[in-house]
Amino acid sequence: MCALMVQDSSAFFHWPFFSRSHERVSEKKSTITIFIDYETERGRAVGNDFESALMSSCAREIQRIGEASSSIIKIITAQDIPEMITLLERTSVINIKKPSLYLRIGAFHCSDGHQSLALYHFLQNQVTDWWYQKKLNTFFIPCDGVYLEHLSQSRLIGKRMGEVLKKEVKDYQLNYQGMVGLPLTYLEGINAPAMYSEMGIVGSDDSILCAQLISGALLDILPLLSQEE
Amino acid sequence: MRRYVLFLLLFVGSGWLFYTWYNELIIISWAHKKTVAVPLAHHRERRKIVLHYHAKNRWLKDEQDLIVSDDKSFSLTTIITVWLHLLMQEHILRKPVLLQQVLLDIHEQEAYLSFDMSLFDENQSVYEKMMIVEGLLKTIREYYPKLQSVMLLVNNQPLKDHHLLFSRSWPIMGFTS
Repeated sequence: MCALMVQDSSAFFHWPFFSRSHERVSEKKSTITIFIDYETERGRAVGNDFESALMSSCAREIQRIGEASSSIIKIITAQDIPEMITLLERTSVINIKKPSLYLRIGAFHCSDGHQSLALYHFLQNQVTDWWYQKKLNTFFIPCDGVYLEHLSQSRLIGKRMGEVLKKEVKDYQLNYQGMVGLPLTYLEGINAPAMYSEMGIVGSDDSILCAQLISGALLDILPLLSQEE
Repeated sequence: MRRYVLFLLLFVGSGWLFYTWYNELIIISWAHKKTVAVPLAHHRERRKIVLHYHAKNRWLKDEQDLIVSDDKSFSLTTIITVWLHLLMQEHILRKPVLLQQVLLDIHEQEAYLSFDMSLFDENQSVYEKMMIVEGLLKTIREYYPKLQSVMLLVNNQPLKDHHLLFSRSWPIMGFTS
């Protein structure tokens, strides 16, 4: 009976009179939300003021480039959400926003003078994955099908972003340290494909350069994110 | 009549003996049931062990002659202690870390390594931290390929790190391979 009602309602929206509103719904759905997170001063901050300033400027730059380049992207940065105390609350707030991609950026000051860029995604090893696949139907832990779907999506996005970055960073003599799945604390519980990009920075110009590279890679993976929608 | 008295005395005597033994008033020990603890003789030998570490964006290795034994916990303790010294010499570890204990599970497939402090510095990047752990796993798996996973502990509690999760054991193959 219930299935019949659903079928009926979908047929109702396909009726020519309602076709415009149907289009409007699909237009609304095609907006891709990307959440860009970084270590905030009041949050789980590590590093120094220089590093946190670099991260916030990098996030703003990615937001600016991304939203200017494509009308379908909506980028939310950590500045747009209230300051959180625990990582658990932070994860819940991010999940409420239903992003298509969670990207966390981290910056550290390179003392050896070699700029670097690394990319990580959800962990992929079977040995450590078992506990995610347990039936823990709590509100924040993605599990079973949902988790595995995000895992494969993260791998796919990570692979594509990695290919783009690997090609691009050569021109800037950045040391690209590859893409790997790792058990990272802050990617745990995010209900979306989750990536982490870590930048080894020497000067403040490097953060802008990294932001340009990352936003370029983000624009490249847009078809993958819109497919998911 | 005399026979009955003898039987009666025999039953009373054996009953009294049983009662005192049952209530642990007397202890009867059997000479042939004595157990003697014999220390297990572990075979020990000097062997070349390869220690792996990551520095200057590449994998490096160092061969050292170490005494290893059939007792895997003993051997792992020796190997990891020497590996920690090597990392200190190479300035990869920023503070001297001591290995407190190495325990293996009953099937000898999971190792629990307890250190006196974290192997990492707060300001280290994820990449640096990951490479320290990968070096440790690489060194262990070359000596002991049967091992499946390694749990890193600090003072017998799971290692707490801002970036990486150590609440579960890490696979011996690591994440980069």
